[in-house]
Amino acid sequence: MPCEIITLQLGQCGNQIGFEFWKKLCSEHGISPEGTLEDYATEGTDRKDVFFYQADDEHYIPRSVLLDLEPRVIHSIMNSPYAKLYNPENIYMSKQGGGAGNNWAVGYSQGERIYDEVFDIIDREADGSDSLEGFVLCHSIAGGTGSGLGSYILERLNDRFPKKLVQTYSVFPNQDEISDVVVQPYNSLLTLKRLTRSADCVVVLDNTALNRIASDRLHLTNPTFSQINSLVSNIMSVSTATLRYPSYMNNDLIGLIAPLIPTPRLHFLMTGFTPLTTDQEVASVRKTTVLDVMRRLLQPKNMMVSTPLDRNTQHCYISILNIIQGEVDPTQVHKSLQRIRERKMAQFIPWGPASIQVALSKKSPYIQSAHRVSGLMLANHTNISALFERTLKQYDKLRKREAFLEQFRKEAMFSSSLDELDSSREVVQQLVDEYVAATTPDYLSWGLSQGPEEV
Amino acid sequence: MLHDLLTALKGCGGDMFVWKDNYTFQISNDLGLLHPCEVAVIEEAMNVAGYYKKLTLFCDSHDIVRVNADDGKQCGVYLCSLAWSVRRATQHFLNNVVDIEERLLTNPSLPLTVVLASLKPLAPTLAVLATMVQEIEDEKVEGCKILEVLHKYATNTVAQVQEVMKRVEQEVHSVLYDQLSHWLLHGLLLDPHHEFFITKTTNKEENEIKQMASLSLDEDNVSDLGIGEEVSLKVELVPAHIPLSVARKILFVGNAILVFQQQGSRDIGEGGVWEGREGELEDLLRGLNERDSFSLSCLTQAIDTITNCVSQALWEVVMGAGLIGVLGELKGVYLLGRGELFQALLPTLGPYLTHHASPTTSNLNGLLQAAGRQVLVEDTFLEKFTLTFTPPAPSNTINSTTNSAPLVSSHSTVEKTDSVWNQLEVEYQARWPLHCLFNPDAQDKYNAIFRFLLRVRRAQHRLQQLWMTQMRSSKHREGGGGCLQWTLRHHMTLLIDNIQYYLQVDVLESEHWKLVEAVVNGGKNYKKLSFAHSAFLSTVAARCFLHHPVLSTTLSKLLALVHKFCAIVEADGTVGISGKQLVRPQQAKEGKKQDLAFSLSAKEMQDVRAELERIAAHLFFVLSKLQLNQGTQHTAQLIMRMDYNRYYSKNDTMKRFRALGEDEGELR
Repeated sequence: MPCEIITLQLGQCGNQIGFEFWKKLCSEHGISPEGTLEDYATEGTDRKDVFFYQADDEHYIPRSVLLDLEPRVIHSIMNSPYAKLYNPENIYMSKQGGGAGNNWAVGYSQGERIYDEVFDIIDREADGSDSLEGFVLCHSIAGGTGSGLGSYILERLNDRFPKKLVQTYSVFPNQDEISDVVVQPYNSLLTLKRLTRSADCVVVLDNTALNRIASDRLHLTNPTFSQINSLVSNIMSVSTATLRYPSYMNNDLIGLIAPLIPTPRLHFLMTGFTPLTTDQEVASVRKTTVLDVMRRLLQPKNMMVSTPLDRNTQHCYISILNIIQGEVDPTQVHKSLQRIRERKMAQFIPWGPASIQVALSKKSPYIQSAHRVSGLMLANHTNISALFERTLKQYDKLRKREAFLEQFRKEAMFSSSLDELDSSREVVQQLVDEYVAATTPDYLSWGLSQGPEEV
Repeated sequence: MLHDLLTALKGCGGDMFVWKDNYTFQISNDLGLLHPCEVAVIEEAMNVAGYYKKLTLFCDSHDIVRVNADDGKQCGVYLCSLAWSVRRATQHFLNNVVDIEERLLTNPSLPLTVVLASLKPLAPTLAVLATMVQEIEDEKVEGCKILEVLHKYATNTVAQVQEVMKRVEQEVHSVLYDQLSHWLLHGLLLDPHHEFFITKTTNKEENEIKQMASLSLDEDNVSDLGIGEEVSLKVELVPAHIPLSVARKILFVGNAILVFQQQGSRDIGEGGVWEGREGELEDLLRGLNERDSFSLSCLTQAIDTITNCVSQALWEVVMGAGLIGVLGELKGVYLLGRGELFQALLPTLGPYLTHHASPTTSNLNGLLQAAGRQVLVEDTFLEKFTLTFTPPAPSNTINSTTNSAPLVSSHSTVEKTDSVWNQLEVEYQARWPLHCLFNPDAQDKYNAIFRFLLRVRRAQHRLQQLWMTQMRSSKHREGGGGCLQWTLRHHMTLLIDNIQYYLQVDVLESEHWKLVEAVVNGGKNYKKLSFAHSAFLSTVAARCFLHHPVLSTTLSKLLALVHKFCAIVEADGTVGISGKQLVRPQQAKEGKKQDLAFSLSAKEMQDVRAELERIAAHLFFVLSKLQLNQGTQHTAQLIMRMDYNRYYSKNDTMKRFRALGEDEGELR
């Protein structure tokens, strides 16, 4: 079971982070921008076949599908040195080229229209793999294409491939600055419903936190998209490191995420990464220990999700997986775990066992890093509900004023009623409630009483 | 009369001094020729003569020329050497007799007392020798054991006698030195009479197999031919005064030489085993031989020197053969380090084993190789490993104990497959010279660990698949009785994962790290290396709790429960989904149907839950107990992982259990 994974990049944001992701993977596996194996890439211990397939002896092609309703980003990819990397048949740009106009409803209905063409590509790609394990979807939830088309594809993937995993890397909008997308709260809410219902695992990438990290931690005054995206691609590549450099465990996606997700809806994961550096920054070589890395991973400032402090609820970790890369003395892991426990650096759920799992993973032999040890945390934390609450609040504000709804009413889905918005709000509210309930000891009985009500 | 006496002294009895069968001369004084006081003197002389006679008889019968192996008599190099040495020791006596004869010829009226005076001092020596010879003959002491008797007499005597004894001892030891130098320096066993404490035992069966194998395989395996002949230590032949450790070292050195020789002409270019020190070591052994008396400390020292020399040479060869890489390979397969391989193997192996009660090796291995190809493992890597199946022994005690749990007995299929899983084995084709490190014994230990890890891995895999099923079915029908299933699954997953992470990081990675460290920095010593390797195996086995009956049973129960739970939920899930698809329009009906299914499975779920809590609490309890009593670090590690958010230590079931346990403890 080689556990291949197909990546779907949707919309402007999705394609941009996808582009950075493939750049990163290529350099980690010693694959040139043209898709050929570099001369120095002689170590055969990595598994390129999870994300690439071989066209012939030399050419590696990403198992990637690029989708967008407007051509700009994809054109820029096709004008980059990596143009020849992708399979041109896997690139789909809407013929109208008009885009979704940052409107979820447009993106969603476009999806219905282009369903056949898109799923021809996905089906062909799925048939091309020995035993496909699942899909990874990169998109943002605020715009039109990533959110609307993304939502549509999520639902259809479930119907079409009921036995395959669907993981998403979802970029949440920046709250610190005023968005140029006025209907962003509607878009986010409608997408969140699909993410709750149809995705198996959502890795939340909060633009607020990403920008904050770029300015506070990396000291970039005006972080560019590509700098932010390289942060994201780092997260994506490390979180798939155990799949690509196999060792004892977590060699497939399911093994990676299943232990993190205790119940079906609590599948929104936060990530943290350390050490944070940029390419420009000449990183001073520091002696990093496992304890350092694990401690820093628990600090909110290294998290890729920005959540306000909530004094009413005792938020806590449901589960944590740390992926530690580099030269690690395995005996240190236990000591670090012990120390973290003694100092109570992490709060855990009261209703069941929970712990910090530590997976040791290899590093790419082709990339020199100043840091001996680096780490990624994938955490299921109840605090993520704050993010959804924020969306709800913004939605309520707009909805109360009935603002910008005419754009939505233009589409068939909303022409007769706005029930879809209401039902989405309900789903997201339930999600928030469930996360809050998960902080209490009687979450289990809550789950029993809540469960059957839903339809 | 004196003439008669002299001949009697030389061992030939006559009419007057009659040689009796009980090894004494009897004086026949029927004619009254001898004065009573003369009789007393002669009796004393005759005692000495008796000893001499006996020794001569011994020497005559065991001289090399007269050795005849057929008539069941003792024979052999050691005995012969002893005979020769004893003869030399008695030469003094003979000289004295000759001397007396000469004096008698010149002085016919030599008093009888002169004879006595000249012979009497030799009496103790001859007496001791005679007793010793008697003992050797009576107890049929053979081979090296003669050295033990000799050593005993040599140390228990004093003064002049000891001198003689020591000389004899040293002379007989020279046989040993001779054998040693052949064995230690050239790996030769010159031992036609099977006297040496190191012997060749030929395992015929194995040899045949090896020969068969070598016929079909390429020339790489030809060097394995000699392995069928095993050289081993015969503990019963090791003289008591030579410590067993020294004997073991001797065995090790020779074996090492043999290992080198197996490689034969291929690449012994670089100065051979000894790297030019052969002469020096030979001198060392010769020096031992030329000493006046036997010295154990010198022997030990010499053996140590040689051992170190060989050990270093062997270390270099073993390292040169890529030991670190091979250790990595073994970790990859036996210790499931190549996770992706087993990831690929489990889904195919599972169904195969369920449907085939007695799988064949070729099929199993086919699956392994296919899995390897799927995940693009290099061909050369997997070629060395073979997945095999050992049919159960007539009375399989291990399985009957692990499966005796009442929980599993109802699921006979589970039981059957479980036992099949427990008989899987991996064979590793070790290259020269690593085969001496990864011998069948070590492979057995590896396999024990392998089977345990595979069981845990399988449970984990099944739980992950279940997560998928649950995730999907939750989308089709929300909530419901599923919640308990979800929690149970999550609980089990965490438990199994914690055990897995503990095994992976705290046990396997840490120990392997230590092993590599010891191998590389252990001071170029093969003995230490091999010790570190066996220590590694036993530590890992211990930390997998393979030797702890209570814990391993509890773990087995836990794994069995996982499979039971998965089976229930999977069955439930398929009913739910397929039911839904069949009766899609009739929503109401479907609901009822599912309710029925829920109520049926809900009861089972509660049972599973109770059982899980019990097992988990028991596991935790036993581990804590173990840690309290022994304070071992690894149990603390597992406990911490399991109880990271202090769920178990606060849990009600746990408290009850602890109270129960303490009560029991008090009662005891």
